[in-house]
This record gives sequence, C-alpha cells and structure tokens, in this order.
Amino acid sequence: MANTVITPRRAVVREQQYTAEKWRLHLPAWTALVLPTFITLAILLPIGLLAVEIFTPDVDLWQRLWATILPRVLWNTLRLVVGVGVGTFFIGTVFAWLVTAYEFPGRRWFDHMLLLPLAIPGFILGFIYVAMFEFAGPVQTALRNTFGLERGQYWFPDITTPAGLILVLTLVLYPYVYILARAAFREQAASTFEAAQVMGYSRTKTFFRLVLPMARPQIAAGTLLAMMEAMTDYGTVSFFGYPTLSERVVVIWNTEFDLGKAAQLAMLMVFVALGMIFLERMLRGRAKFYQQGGRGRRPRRQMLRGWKKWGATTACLTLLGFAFLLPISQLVAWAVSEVQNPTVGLWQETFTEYTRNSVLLSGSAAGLAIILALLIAYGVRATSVYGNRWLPRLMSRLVTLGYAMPGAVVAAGVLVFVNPIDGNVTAFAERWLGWDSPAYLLTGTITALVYAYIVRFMSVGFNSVEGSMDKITPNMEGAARTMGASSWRVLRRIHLPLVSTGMAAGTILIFVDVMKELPATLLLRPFGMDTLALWTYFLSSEAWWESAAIPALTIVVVGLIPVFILMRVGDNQVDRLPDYPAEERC
Amino acid sequence: MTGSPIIRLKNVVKQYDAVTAVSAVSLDVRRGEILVLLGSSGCGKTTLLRLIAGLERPNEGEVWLNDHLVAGREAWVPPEQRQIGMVFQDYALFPHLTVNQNIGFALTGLRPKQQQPRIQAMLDLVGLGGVGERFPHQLSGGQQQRVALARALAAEPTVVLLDEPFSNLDAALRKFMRDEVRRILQEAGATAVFVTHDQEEAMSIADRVAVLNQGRLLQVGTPGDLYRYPKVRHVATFLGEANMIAGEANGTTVDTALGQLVLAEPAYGTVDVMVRPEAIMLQTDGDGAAEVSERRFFGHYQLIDVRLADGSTVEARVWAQSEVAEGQRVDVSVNGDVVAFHTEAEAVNSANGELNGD
Repeated sequence: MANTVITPRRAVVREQQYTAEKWRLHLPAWTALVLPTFITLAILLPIGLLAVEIFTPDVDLWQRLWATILPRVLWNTLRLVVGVGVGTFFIGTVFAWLVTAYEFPGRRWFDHMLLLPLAIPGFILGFIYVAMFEFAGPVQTALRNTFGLERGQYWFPDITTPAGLILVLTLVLYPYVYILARAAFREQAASTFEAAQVMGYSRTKTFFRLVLPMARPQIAAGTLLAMMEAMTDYGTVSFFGYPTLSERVVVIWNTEFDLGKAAQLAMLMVFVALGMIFLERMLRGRAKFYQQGGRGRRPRRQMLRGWKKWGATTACLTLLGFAFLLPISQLVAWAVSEVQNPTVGLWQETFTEYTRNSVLLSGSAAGLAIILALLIAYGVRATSVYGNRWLPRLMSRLVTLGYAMPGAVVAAGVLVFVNPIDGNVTAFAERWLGWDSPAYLLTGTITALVYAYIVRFMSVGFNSVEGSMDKITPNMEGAARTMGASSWRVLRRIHLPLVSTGMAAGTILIFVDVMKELPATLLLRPFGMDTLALWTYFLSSEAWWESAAIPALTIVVVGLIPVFILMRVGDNQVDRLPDYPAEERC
Repeated sequence: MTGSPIIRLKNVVKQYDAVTAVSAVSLDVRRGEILVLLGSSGCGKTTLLRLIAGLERPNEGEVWLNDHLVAGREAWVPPEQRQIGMVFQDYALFPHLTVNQNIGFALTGLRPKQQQPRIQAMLDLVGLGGVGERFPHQLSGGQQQRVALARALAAEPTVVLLDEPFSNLDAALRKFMRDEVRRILQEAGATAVFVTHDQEEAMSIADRVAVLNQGRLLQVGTPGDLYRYPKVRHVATFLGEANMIAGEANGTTVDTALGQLVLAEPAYGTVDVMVRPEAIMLQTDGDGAAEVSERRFFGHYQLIDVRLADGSTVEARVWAQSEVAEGQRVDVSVNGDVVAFHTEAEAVNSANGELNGD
C-alpha cells in the first residue's frame, strides 16, 4: 500500500472518473425504467386526480352529506366489512385446518372443491339466494305446501336483511382466507408440530398455541382481502338495497350526474382502502419471511373416527352445498327452463351480442394489462439487480394500488381525467372539422372503460408476472451470462419461458375479473353497450331469474377456469414438498 | 508451473455503499491449479469470485484473464465474453430446460446436432449418462450439483469458478463429491477457483489455499504450508486447533512453558508461539512435570488437555491407541519447529507482510 500515495488533486480526478463509470454501468437500468415509470404514472393518474378533489373539499357538500346519508352509509359499510371479516376468518380458518390436519371421508375432494365458490360473483349468489329463500321462492313455497301453512303462520329468516347480505358475501369470499390459511398450515414443518406434541400439547391445543399464531400473517392477509372485496362490492349491496360508500358513488354519479360529489365520496374510500392495503402489505411481508423455513416433512394427518369422521364430512358438504352446489343447481335449472321456454324471448340474439362485448372488453383489458405488467416487472427487476432499491419498490407498490380501489372509485377518477379531454376534442371537431355532434372519443368508445379496467386490475397481472419472475434467481442470469449468452438471449431463453406461465395465469385472472366487473362498466360503457355481467344484474333486479340464469351461468363457468388453475398450482406446491426428507443419493 | 498466471488480480477493491467487500486484493492463479478461496461467511470470497466472472465490476484495481485486461479503469469485458465456467451455490440450473438443454445452453457456437456428443461426453464425465432428458427438479441434490459442473465445463472454459458448490449437500455426499470434483477437474485439465468456508474441504481439494478475512487476503500457500507456517494469527486458528503459548523469542529459539523451542523464522521479544496439538508429544513413563486434566475420544485420535507446571493448559492430539488416563503425570515435548506471532500490532503486520500472493 506504500506506493498508493496519491495527491488530493489526483484523487479528485479519480473520483469523477469513477462516478462517470458508475453512471455508465447503471444506464441500462435507468433506460429500462423510463417506460415503466410512464406506465405507473398513467395508472396512478385517475387516483391522483381524485386526491386533488379531496384537497379542495367542498365543505358545504360534506355538511349536507353528514346531515343526510353519510352516517347511515358509513355505519352500513362498517357493519358489512366487519361482518364479512369475522365470517370469512372463521369459515376459512376452520375448514383449512380441517382439511390439513385431519383425515376423513372425501377430504382430498373437499380440499379442492371448497375453492369453487371463488367462481361465483357476489351479486350472482345474492340473487340466487334471494330468489330461493324469499316468500315466493321454492324453499318457502315447499315448506308451506308440506305443512299447509299460510303467510305469518311460521317464522322464516328474511334473506333480504343485512345479515343475509353478510352471509352471501361470506360464502363467496371465504376462499380467500381458506386458500391462504391452508397454504400456511401446509408449510408448517412437522418438527415444530411434533415438538409441541412431545411437550404434551394436544392437537387442539397445538392449533391455538402454535399453528394459528404462526399462520397469523397469511390468515390476516386473507381476511383483509375479503374485507376489501366486501367494501368495494357494488352489485351485491345494490341488489340488496343496502347503501354503502361504494354503492353511493355509483348511484350519485348515475342518477344525479354529480361527478364532484361522487369523487369526494370516492376519495373517502381511497383513504380507507389505503389503510387496508398498508396493513395487508405489512402482514404479507412477514408472510414471506415465514415461508422461508418451509422445507421439511409435513405433519401427518390424524384419522378421525366415529361421529367426528362423518361430522367433518357433513360440515364440508354443508358448506360446499350452500356456497356452490345448491345455488349452481338452481342456476342450471333456471337456465334449462329458460332455454326450453323463454320468458323474455330474446335470449339467443342478446346472448351472442353480450358475450361478444364481454369477451372484447375482457380480452383487450387482460391483454394490454399483462403486457404493461411485464414491462413494469422487468424494469423493477432490472433496477433492483443493479442495487437501486427505493424506486422499484415504490413503483411495485403504487402500481398495485388499484386493486384496493373500488371499481366505482377508479371509474370516477377516470371520468375526472377523461371528461375534459372528451369535451375539448368534441368541441374541436364540431368547430374546426364541422362534424355534426360527433361521439365522444374516449367515453364514447371502450377506451376509457378499458383504461379503468387496467388501472383496477393491474395488480393482478403484476403480481402474477412478478411472482414467476421471482423464481428466476439472479444466479440463473449470472450462469447464463458466464456461458456466453447476451442479455437478449437471456431474456428470450430464460426470462420469457419462465415468465410465460405467470403471464398466462395473470391474463386469465384479469379476464375473469373484468367479466365479473359491474360498477366501472356501468359508469363508463359506451351508450348501449351491455355485457354479460350487466345483463345478469339488470335481469335479476327485475326478478327475471330464469333469464338472468343464462348469462350468470356463463360468468360462473368462465370463472371456474382460474379456480381450476389455482387447484393445480396448489397441488404442484404440495408435490414439491416431500413427506420425508428426499434421499440424497446418486 | 511455467507461463504467466491465468488469472491475475491487482489491488482489486469492491465496495457496496459503505461496505468494503473486497479491499485491495492481489492474487495470481496458476494455469491448471485448483485454488481455494477460504474464509468465514461475509469475508468477501464470493464477491471476489463474481469479480473474476465479471458479474461484479471492481471499484478499483484490475482483473487480468489469460493476459487480457478484462476489468480496469478503462477496460471492461462482460461476463459472456470471458470464457469462464461457473458453478453457483444454488446451482442456478434452468428449471424449464432438460439436463441436455441446460448443458447445451453453454454450447452457443454449435448446432444442436454437433452439441449432442459434447453433452454426452460431459454427462459421462460427471457420471450421469442416463439423465439427459430429465428436468432439474427430478434430480437429487448431488445430481443437480454434477449437472451444474458439467454445464460449467461444457464449453471448455479457461477457468472454472465454483461458489460453495457442496454447501447444500449432506456430509457423506459432500465428501464423495469433493473427491469426484477434484477428479473431474483434473481430467478436464481445468484451472479452478473454488470458494468455501470449510477449512477441511479447502485443504483436501486445493493445490493452494488463499485465506480471506474481512475483505483482505491474509495468506496464500499450499495447504501444508498454511497449516504449519501461518503468517497471521487468524490463519493459524482458522485452519485448525492451535495452542497459543506465551514465550520470549531470542533469534532462532524461543523459551516457553514447554521448554526451548526452535523457530521456523527468527523472532525477538515477547511472542505467542503456535503449536499444533499433534506436534505435542507426551511421554507417559516416569514422573512428568505435567498432568493430564481431560481426555476426549474422537475415534481415530484423541485430544488430551495437559496442565503444565506453570498452571497453563495445552491441547495434545494423540493416537486412539495411546493409553492415557486423566490425572496421569506426563512429560511434554514439541516435535519440529514452531511459528511465533508478535503479541501486539497484528493488523500492521498483516497489512505490510508479504501477503499479496506469490
């Protein structure tokens, strides 16, 4: 080191040279980020514009709202969200534990089938339940006929109450908790479990003292997801005539055409949603940590005997029956009767048209969103590989924000952004091009709607792509480079093939989500453009159950695709987890 | 060995923000040798390997490969042009490609038809003739490790870099693979740089070992040299059990509680003398000045704690057959020469000593 004495002057020169080199080295990463940054900004714009609304609050409006609907709407929202949270937590956790820790007739089958309700949108299960259990519905009719009773002579729970609504949403949302809790339980190593048993803990006691606390991050994350869905739901609450924040935003815009008022209410939801997403992220981060110790044997399942054995089977069958089998049978029955003798008489033509609309919207939104998601995920990865931390992390957080926003909120944001553009373009066309009342450029076409879908569902695509990109370790890239592969070849041969499954899954998920979407579609669709979901919603509001059954069944069937994929993914993960340590022999 | 070194590092520095992972390391790797970078975790050995591979760029200093400057202030050759093979700690096999395709990935210049014989030859070399059509996840850990090695060797690289390749294997397999890899590397005639934190592994596989600590290169030498004549205290203790005994050095000899010992290199003043346990001889006949205080049996040898006349304790390694009982009086002597360390200013010594490789 004696010969490395340098004068201060030389040291300065040297410093500059190295700074320049550092920049040159990081340049590809920065260029890789330019496009993703633009995309992120475009996705944030609608929500950002709503934020502007809230910073210029209309005090008068808020006072009026507070004096009229707001207290009731807030109370309704809170009651619903908490009720669904408690319900999904309880059902999801209990059944996840049942199928992971015990062996009983049909367990393997239920293990998968309990995911099926994911395929049913809340508003579809809602209308089926109302139709089945209302006074004129088949259940009460059958009861009256069997026992020869008249109205008022017997008690039957009223389905069109807040409790009924909570029940319906719990039945469609419990799989969120179930799937995450089940994954958490499966990952827990047998050794932990056995250690507790050796220390004298019973199975039940181990569950409460060990298993549940260890799975807490995932269970909490699942419950929060379910609560978020309940808060952002529009179709079900509106069908039940139960005004919540999400429902009011749509109604105010759709009936009063008061965008300002809708936007102010929407912003209120953004705050709640931000709080929830923050909580969820925090818990999810810990969940990742927990999963690292996942290798090892799985706990052995305990064989249930006697009444417990059939009790477990009955419990699973009851849940599955109420959440899926019964409602779907009813839907099929209605659809069959509608096909055999149509009540409205139009279903063939309209069905084709609405299906085409739905596929067009879902397809374009899913295709675009997944490509954008890939660009962002690649940029995020390239930057973090080069050691920059805060920018990619911030970006991946911002880009997934839309999922916490109700469709109505996103739609309101898009409208705030798009309306002035539409107005100006139309005015321009009328004045300078002499067009006679031209259609709106963005809201008159599907552009604005697809934009809203992308904002809303980007996180679904991003998470799928990022998840599969995470499986590519930096060492794989390093290995490819040391074997003489250019970065283009690494992208083509390593990244794309490994990400393609994630992209496919993401595309399907977005496709299905868009197909089920109601509020944004309602607010932003070009005039006269109806989708399967809207049609179901309209027909069921008019109590034309049989006619509503055909589009409803179509949505459910499409919705089953990602559920089946989910089942298979779960299986693969289990396959990779050996029951006993894999023997290391050559 | 003749000819210029195949890898030459000159004062290489790598910093991550505030952390200096590699600090002014100079090291030559000779053609055809297996050089092991040894150090505890976080000492910068993996970073050094990645610097050679071109997966990291040094902040200062130069990296020469085969007489070409590949990293320096003005020069930069990306990893894909360096013609090296690398085996990663997690193997980094491509999960969507079969074993054949994984190995074929390295053979960029060849058409698929020309690749096959080469792939087959590599699989035969690592003893995995029949698994070409399988996917990585269908192989055991040891098999994956061999595929990674075959893949790294396939393009006949000038240098193979191995980053803790055995750390994911169990003890028995690790021992077996160590011998296998040494055989394979020698058969392939490859120059290899091998990273490990296991000193036993390092000494059994290496032609030469380079000991790293906190980003610094402490000493380079043959396993035997490093073990017997460490230049720094850290090297002495890291490579195996070492008794550190206080003494007064006067040139070629040193006076200690074990008597007057011969120094390997002259020293003066108050020193610590390192004596390996197996260099300590115990005479059980007669009334010795020392007493056996504890005895631990290890199968092929035993470790004996001996309390000396001055009350200090040294550790001796004796054969399993030796009959030594606790409480027995013994005479103690030292076999061969010993190494002395100055008790203070170790850091200055290590920085200024001739530690920059040979």
